[in-house]
Amino acid sequence: MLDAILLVAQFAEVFLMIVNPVTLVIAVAQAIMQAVPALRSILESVFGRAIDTWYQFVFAPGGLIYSTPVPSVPATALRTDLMPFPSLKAMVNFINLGIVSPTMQAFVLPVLQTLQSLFPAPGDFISWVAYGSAISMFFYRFGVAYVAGYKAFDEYGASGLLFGGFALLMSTFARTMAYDSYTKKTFTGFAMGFSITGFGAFIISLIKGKLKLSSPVAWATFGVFAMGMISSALVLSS
Amino acid sequence: MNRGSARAASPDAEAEAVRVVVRTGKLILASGVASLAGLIATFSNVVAVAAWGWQVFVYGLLGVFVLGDYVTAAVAMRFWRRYRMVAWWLLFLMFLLFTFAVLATFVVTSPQLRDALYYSGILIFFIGLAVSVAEGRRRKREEAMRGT
Repeated sequence: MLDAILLVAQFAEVFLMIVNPVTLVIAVAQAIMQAVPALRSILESVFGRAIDTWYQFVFAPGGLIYSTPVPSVPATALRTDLMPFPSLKAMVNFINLGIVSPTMQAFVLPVLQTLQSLFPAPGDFISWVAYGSAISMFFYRFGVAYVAGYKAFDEYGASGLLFGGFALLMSTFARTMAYDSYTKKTFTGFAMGFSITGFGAFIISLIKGKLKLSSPVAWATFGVFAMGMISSALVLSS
Repeated sequence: MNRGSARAASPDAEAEAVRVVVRTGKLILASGVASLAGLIATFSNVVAVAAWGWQVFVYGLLGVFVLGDYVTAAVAMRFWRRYRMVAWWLLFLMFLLFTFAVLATFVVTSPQLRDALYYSGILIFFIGLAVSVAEGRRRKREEAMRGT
């Protein structure tokens, strides 16, 4: 049983290593674009409508929760909003804008149409995209919890990181799966509780001398604690 | 950066920094617990209690981050003086960005600014972590070379 858990955890670690930097870069790009609308205008004036494709392409995979609609994409046989996964949405946008060559379209279109027919139309918030984002974020957070919890606990006794990881997981639930303010606040409460417990464990580890402040683990504990706390605040304020 | 100096890692600097973290950490915990209590109070059906709880949550959270900034600044300064550790200054910068993100959330109420600051903080966090690992490895290598 333990072997199986560790095997899953190893996969999660690999997933974390791959997804983490990509997600971060995309998230930062997204935040900058949102914060500076002028930058988007400048890019639009240089690249024209292609910027919409780029915008969707960049934001869709990582910015799952904040996926930005692309109003200027013309309506064609393939509807972007019916695509189950963000990467497919991006691909449809490429086709719609004529970026993909006719030969390529002939190959790709039937595949996409088949995929589209397999998945139900979202209709509401509970769409495949939402589930996809929740699942991918779950694994991402699980990776954090694994690296933070299992490794740190094993080598340094820094159980604070485990709790911090759970805090991030809970805040993810609050952000992606909460349909009303009550559920949102409940998950946020869990997130804050775990975060505070994690920081408490971090302090105890320091007092007991199990954790060196100059080690990256201490770094990570502190950072994860902060992220758990602030994620909670962001969830409530969104 | 250590600039190749052969300064030995002093347990005093570590102990001093730990003392600061533990002492202020207790205040951070108290502020965090108060903030959580405020959040729980927002579930109340009594409007006044819920409103009061929200205020406690907001200021409690702000307290966590202001105190966190103090801890990281104090520790960063000690580590910088002793080991020239860039990583600690990056950690401080991360906390600073997070504090501004909290301010942007509750004071300025700008979601765009909030997200920009938060994600920048996370990015700095990972850069700092990478720098921290690199610094640790270099120090170990230097110590090993001195030992041989």
